[in-house]
Amino acid sequence: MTDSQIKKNSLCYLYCFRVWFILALIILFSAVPDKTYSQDALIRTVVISSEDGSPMVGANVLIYSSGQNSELLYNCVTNPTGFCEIRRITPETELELRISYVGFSAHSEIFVLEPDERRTIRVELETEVGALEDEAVVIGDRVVTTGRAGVQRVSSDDIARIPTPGVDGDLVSFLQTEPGIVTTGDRGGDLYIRGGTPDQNLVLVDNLPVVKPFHVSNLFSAFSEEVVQNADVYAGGHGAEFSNAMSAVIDISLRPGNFRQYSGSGAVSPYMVSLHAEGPVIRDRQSFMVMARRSTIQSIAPTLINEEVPLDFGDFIARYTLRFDNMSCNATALYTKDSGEVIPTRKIRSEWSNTVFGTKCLAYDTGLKYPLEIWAGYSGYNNSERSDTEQERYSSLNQIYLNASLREQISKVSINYGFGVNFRFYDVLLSEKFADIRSVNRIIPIMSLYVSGNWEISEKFEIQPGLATQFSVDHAGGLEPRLRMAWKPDGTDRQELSIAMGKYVQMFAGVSDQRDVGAVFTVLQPIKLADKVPYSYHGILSYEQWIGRSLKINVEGYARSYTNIPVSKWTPEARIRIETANAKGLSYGFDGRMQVQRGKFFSSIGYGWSNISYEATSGDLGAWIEEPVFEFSPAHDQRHKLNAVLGYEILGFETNIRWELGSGKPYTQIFGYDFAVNVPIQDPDEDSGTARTLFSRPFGETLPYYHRLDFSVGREFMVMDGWNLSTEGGIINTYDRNNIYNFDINTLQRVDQTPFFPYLSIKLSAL
Amino acid sequence: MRSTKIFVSVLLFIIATGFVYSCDNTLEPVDYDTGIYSIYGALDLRKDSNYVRVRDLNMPFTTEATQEIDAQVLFENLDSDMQELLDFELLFESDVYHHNFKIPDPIQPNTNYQITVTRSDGESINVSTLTPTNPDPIAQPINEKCYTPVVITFDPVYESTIEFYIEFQPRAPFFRTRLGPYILRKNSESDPRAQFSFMPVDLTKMVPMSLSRLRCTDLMRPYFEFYFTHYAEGFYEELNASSFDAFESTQRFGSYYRDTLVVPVDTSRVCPPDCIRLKR
Repeated sequence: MTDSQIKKNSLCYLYCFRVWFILALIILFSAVPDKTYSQDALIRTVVISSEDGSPMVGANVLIYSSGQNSELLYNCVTNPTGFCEIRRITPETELELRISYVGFSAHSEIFVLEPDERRTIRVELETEVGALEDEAVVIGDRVVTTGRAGVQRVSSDDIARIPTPGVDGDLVSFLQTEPGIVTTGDRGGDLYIRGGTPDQNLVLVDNLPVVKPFHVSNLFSAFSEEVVQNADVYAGGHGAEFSNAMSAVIDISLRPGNFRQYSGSGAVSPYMVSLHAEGPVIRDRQSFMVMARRSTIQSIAPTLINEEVPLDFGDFIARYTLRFDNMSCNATALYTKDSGEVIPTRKIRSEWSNTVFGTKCLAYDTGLKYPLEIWAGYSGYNNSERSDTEQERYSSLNQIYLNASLREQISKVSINYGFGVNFRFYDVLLSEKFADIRSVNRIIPIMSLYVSGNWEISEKFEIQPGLATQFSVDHAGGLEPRLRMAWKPDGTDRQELSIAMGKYVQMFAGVSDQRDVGAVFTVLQPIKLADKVPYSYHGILSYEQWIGRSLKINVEGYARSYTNIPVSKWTPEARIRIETANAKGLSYGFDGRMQVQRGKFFSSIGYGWSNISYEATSGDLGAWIEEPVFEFSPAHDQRHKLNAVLGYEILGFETNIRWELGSGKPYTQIFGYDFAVNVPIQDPDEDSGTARTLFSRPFGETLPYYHRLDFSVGREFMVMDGWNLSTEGGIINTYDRNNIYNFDINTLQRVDQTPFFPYLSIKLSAL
Repeated sequence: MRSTKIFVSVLLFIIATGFVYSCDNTLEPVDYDTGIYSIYGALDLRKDSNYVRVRDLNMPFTTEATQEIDAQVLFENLDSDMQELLDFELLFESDVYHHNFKIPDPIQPNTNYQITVTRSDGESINVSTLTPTNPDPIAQPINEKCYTPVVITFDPVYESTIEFYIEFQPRAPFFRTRLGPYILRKNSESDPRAQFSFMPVDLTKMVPMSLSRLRCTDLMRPYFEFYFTHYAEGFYEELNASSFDAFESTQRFGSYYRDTLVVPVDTSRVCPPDCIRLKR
């Protein structure tokens, strides 16, 4: 038996042992009778809007004692399905249920529960005439998360404030206004969050993983304001519910379709056209929502801005929602396709696509002691680079998965736990001019387990410990402890100090040519049997303070360490090689945000400072670096980033401004262009030699500052009964500054980002 | 009204900042200080003329950028103080021009040569080589029988390196055999000769798949051919360096020559020991 076989067998035994151990814990939890509180009752509420039957996310569900001096006893906030549960309610006691949501009339009713009763209440909230001003919107989270450390909750209103050259706002445009989130520029579709690389991020749409839903034009993603209900962005410190992501999680919930009325819209703009439709299949029970978009910029740009923009992309999203008395389910499908010459002078076309479909059900039948959530599906992703004549590189990842999540209550602590099985199919094919063809073709099953507790120790202090683990046939990820804590000095949401920390393991790696600022193609591959699994440690400290009713300030510091990060080995010629070297990484920094919402005026200013460094043994990276251990700042180390978003409504016109100033990112200078002649075997007078571009000290220089101002003005018109016309005019890059994206290393031609780009967008909606 | 004032103030601030920070957008992608020229050349002492490739490392791979070269190439014999400015010939391949500077005269052995490439701004680099000596190799004794040791002597060699292969043709069904490479350097600090000693029978035994049974009597032709390359000091080591240095790899210059030595042998049977065969 070989060493690798012995290691595999050992891992299998460990795998089986852990599975049985965790399952035993689950059975134990379920079997232990809750004798202490067996008399207590629980109430489950589903809150929907009377306007369209859609679930109300973030509605406050409060239970007071009845009588003159009523006192708040219990509370919860509805999640994206409009559901929330309150347990351990004293039975045979008259209580008052109040449900409220901004802009809707509150609901109130008196109720008494029997011992051990599990009651489900469905409540419809009516729209209230005259919206409330100066009140923050509470956004309910899909996953219970203690404290604000590392978490940004994004609503469709937040997305709508960012000028984009399409009528609707887009999630990725909003994300780029956040400190700590960096892109390579206006193209490429990659997000770097607090030092992590794009392959270290987990993007979920209705619980379904999507590898790269951001389009080749960084102004757009698959998630327009029209389809997004809300999104939780975890810039690290995410809980045990999320695994296999070393850096960040973007958890997106789509809107269900309108349960009461049919509606649709069509929009045109210089960048894209879109169509959308939604409506009830069975009123209040089943609804659908579909949206399709296709870019037009490639054909319009030469006329509009006298420049070629060789970018082509499109997406399709569909959601089917079923709502039963004690269960809600949805089926979601997403398809994206991107193609573009990210660096036009190279004549290399980068392409990628995502195909995702799956289903999710949340069951809360009265027969169930605890709610149960199950989801399953398929996610496919492939990316490639091709010249005019052939495909040069290809990498794909296909996944089939099944997950379940349950909840328990032990004394004051609510326990969430679950498991998942994910079969991952990797396929890599690299075909290069001067190298042998190399390929990877493997199926790796990964099992993941987690348990997380949420404990409100007092009205001021709450903790959320968690533990996750995952393992495959090749590797055991080990235990991943997580901890979140929140302290509210005055016991209210106006002031909060929170901490998040944990260990995060990833069972695969993404490798791209990090020496090239414009590198888009990424090889996704499993961790080799002989290599160690990459992991990171996060630590985040956050403070948030409300001043008055309209000003919110947030300051957050973070630090992360990375271990066993694969980086592509350095070669004289810029090309991908599947051989990697392991590096260590360290990123740290702080973000500051100030947000004001006062009447029709909104502003948000954010500043981020960060420092990212990698370290590896020079001999592993490439023998041409002199120091034995080489430390460098990678291409996404943007030291300073200042963002401002302003919004103001005047005379019916909505004005939005987005402004960004960022320091340049590191890049590697060219040391020389050479044709190496292999003397004396080759003769200089007969052989041209081998072309090679030689790099100077890695990431030794910094690109110029990035500076951009985007501006938009929009207005809605009612053209006739049931028909609405939305118009928006704006400018991208109002300064017309030549913000550099990349330079072609072979011709030294500079590639700049979007120039001065005026646009006019029109959207016609039928209600 | 107050909100309007705030909005307008912030907007003006942003626009003003735009004018302040819209300057200095330049980028210098090429590190002009580190790389100047690459030089590739191997002076062959057996040729009447040689070529040295010189390339401006700062010029990208385009036809326009490579058509001209800002370089003056000076070829010097440091022992005789001879100096000569070299002319170039163009080679157009892979859509770029390559400049090959011609050394029109034969190269002398055991001589110091230097090439200096100078840019118009005065920046220059130079490479040099001490050409190998050109000794006539002597094999002694020759035409002797299979079990008689033969010594091949190169005198003098000094610090240079000789790499050689040995070829001979055994009888059918065996193929022409090539052994090597062998590396030969001077005997010691005090002895500048390089010597290689061998017994012909040891070479015949190394014929693949012969089970060491072949002898000189099995040779189709009664001689061994020595194909050797004599490299200048340090040149062989440079060509076979295991580590890679980006900067050093752009300077590859040296000298060498190739030749052949034929060592005849007496292929008659030697008895004993060839007449004594052990029974299996």
